Amino acid sequence: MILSWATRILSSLLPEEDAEAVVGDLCEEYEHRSKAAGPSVAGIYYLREVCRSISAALRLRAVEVVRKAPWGVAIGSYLLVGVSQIGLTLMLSPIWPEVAQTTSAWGIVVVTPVVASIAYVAAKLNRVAPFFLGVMMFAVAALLIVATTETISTGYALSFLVLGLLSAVLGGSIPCPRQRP
Amino acid sequence: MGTLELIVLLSLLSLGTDAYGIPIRDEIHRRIGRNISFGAVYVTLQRLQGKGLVESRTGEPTAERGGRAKKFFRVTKAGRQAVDHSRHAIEAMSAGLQEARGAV
Repeated sequence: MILSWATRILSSLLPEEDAEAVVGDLCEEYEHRSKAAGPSVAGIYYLREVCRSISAALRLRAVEVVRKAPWGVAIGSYLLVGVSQIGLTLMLSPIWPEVAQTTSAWGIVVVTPVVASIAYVAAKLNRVAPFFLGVMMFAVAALLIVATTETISTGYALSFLVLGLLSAVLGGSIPCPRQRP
Repeated sequence: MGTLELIVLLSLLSLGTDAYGIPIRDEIHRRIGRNISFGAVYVTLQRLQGKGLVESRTGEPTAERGGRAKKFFRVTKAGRQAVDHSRHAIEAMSAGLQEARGAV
């Protein structure tokens, strides 16, 4: 009964493609140990191995979710961009008031490397996430430009529209040294 | 490449084509005495597969596994190159270490 529940818990934590392999290996080991040392010893071994595998299984599940959900990574990155932008504005506005103005070109200049850095990290989690991040930034910028009641120059509108997309795509294109074998 | 990734790749190379979770874990335990959980073995294998260093195929289900299939792994050409690269780096750095110890 306990072994059955332990197996169910582990299986539910693992991606479908790996659940069969991991639980199958555990069952095979249980059979061997059960024949050699008895079902009690094998059962204790089985439970111990399940507990040890759960943390690894959680990591495996997280990797799979991130791999299959570029939009999730992109939305998380977008929120991070927003939080970073607010943080930077609050930090810099006392010494550099132009940054805090809503239609300041300096605001875009300050945020661009932040977007590129976040896209670089997002690319490590999911290779296409920076592209989705760029598309989101482009869409939101277009909406804001259309909806704003303030008078903005064409140059500012164009840079606001394009720089978010560009910095996200470029940041995501920076090769990751750790991925090199 | 991480240490565990290199260890798993080396165990796959020494086991050949019919390598799955149990032999891989046993080979690592036999060679270096490290007792790794099945979960950790498969996390590492998934990472290696994501990097294109190993490939997998699913075997036939067996009764002793409760009707579950084995997942066999083998090292790709890129995986062999990665192992050679890592071994070369370790050997080169070890030689430097020996030189430094000799100089003291």
